[in-house]
Amino acid sequence: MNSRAILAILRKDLLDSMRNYQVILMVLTPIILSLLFTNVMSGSKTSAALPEIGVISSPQQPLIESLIGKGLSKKITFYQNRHDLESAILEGRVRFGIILPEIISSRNPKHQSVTLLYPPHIPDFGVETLKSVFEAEIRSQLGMTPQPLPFEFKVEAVAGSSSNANAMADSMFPMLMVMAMGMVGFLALPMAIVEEREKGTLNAVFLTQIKTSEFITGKSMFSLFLAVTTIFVMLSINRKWGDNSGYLVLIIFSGSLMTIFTGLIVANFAKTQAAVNAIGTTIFLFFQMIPSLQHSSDIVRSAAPFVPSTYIFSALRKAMFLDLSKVTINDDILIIVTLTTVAYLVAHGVYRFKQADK
Amino acid sequence: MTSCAIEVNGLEKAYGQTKVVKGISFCVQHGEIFGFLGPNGAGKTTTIRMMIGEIPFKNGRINILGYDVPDQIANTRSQVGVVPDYQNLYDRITIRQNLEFFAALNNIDKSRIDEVISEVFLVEHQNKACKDLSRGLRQRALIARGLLHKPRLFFLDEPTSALDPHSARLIRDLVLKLRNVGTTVFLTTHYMEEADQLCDRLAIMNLGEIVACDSPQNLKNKYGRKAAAVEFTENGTSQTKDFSLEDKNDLAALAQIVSSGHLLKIHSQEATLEEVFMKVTGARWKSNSEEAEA
Repeated sequence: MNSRAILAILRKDLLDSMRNYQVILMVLTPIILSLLFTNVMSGSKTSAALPEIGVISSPQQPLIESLIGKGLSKKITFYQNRHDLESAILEGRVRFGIILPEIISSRNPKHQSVTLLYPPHIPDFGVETLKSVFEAEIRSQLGMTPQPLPFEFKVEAVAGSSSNANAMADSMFPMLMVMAMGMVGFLALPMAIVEEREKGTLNAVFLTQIKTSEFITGKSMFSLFLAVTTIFVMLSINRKWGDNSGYLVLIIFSGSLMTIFTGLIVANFAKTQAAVNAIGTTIFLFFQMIPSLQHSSDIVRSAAPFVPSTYIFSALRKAMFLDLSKVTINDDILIIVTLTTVAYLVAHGVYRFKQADK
Repeated sequence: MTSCAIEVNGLEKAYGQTKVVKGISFCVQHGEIFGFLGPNGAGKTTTIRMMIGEIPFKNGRINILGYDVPDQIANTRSQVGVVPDYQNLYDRITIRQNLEFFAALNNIDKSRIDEVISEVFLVEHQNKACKDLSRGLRQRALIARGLLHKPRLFFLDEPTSALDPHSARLIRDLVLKLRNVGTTVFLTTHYMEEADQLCDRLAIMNLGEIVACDSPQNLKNKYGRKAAAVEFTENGTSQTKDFSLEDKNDLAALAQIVSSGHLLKIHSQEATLEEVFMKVTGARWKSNSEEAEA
């Protein structure tokens, strides 16, 4: 291996990517999204959890005054009639609607009603959750306390230290890290190789004394640098390194290499950048969506074990947020390393076969 | 060592059922500028790509600087420079960064970059991104890249195509300088005047075959009309007439004009290289188009 040639490819790709807006976008997108999700979703629990609500009521209604007093004025929009409110719900301008009487009193309960309006696609548990939130507020307003349960109801978080307020952001973060790996491996790397093939620079490179293996190593090293740097920046600026940084580094390197080796295979078969877009984006979407949505349906859940990113996602989540004395991370890591090795062997075989064919 | 820098024997290349190179053979001597001419689609670039190992071939033999291609192609890499017929530079980085990259791939000292930049007159443009350069400057950058490792054999595929006269002249001067230091140059061009001016020998290729191969002068002699344009006075008025040097009657008439003292001027009617080119490729074009029509 000629290390000077490999480093030259690394340097050239670095200089080139600094002037390539496609690569810059691919690096910045996960970083910006990580900042966005972390800041948006780690705000106050009530503020983050309560969706925009359309209300038909007087602003002086005690319940509304109470909600506004809790800093939720931005979440509330007032409407004059039910038609306008229903339109706003159906068009998605507000998530729910509530119609309140002027005064809610415990004296004449039969002549009063509170109506909760919701769009048809909201699942029952979502409606129930919102109904409970409002019921609790109304009970509090009326000074009505529910009957206490005749036993102690304990709530305990297991195998982790993260607060509930950050739960959403925490589940998003590994997804964004997987996204950074996928964007670099499945898209940026094959795009760069195919661009060289299309522009003919690859021909010029192979007229020198460089070997195919050195070229592939140089390209892979640059992509690894890009993916790892992006993820390290995401972790650092969002202060998410935690106590298991050794595991994190191992998962990030191995996961990135897995996508890079897959990207090399894509580059071998895709003859044009348009083809890379089609193949790379398809793989990227499966890679990204399946682990993210594995709890959404039985079909996705049954497909998840066959998608490598499921294990990357799971291992990242464990290393970042969970108590590793209570969960097993080694199985995930073993699978990731094995799949990375398989991806390497396939990529190696593909390029060896291509050389022999030539 | 063989006297040929490039030796090609019975080389064939086919895409599917279509043969694009049909068993060509030629030898390029060390230190000469060898022109490779032919109409578009004649098979010139395909032949070059086979010679530099970019595309495979099934039949025939190519020997470059004593090494068989493609089996020993690695041995030729450090001795062969190539300027392709398209501008394959890294556009987003500067000329200097391009050259630094290729210097590293060829294991060449960085000091050579300054030399080569100076040789192609790119000193003031070396830190500009290639995408911001004119076609002529980019072409010079390509030549600089090809010369980085001081090749013994230099392939130039239409190096002056679509360049302004000034840039084309610069490149032609560079080619002549290369020959003067002993570099063998394999040049393809569509400009007959350029080929005539630069090449020691040339081959004309048409429809996958070499239809003529010799020095420009010999080709012009061989395919040109042996005639003289003679200006003379007759009955007090000046006249110009062509006399064939192969026709006995014309020769006798010419001799009479000379002996009578009426001769004013005499010009040999040598064919131009363009006329040779048209002659050796034109008939085949016609037959080809007739074949297509049929």
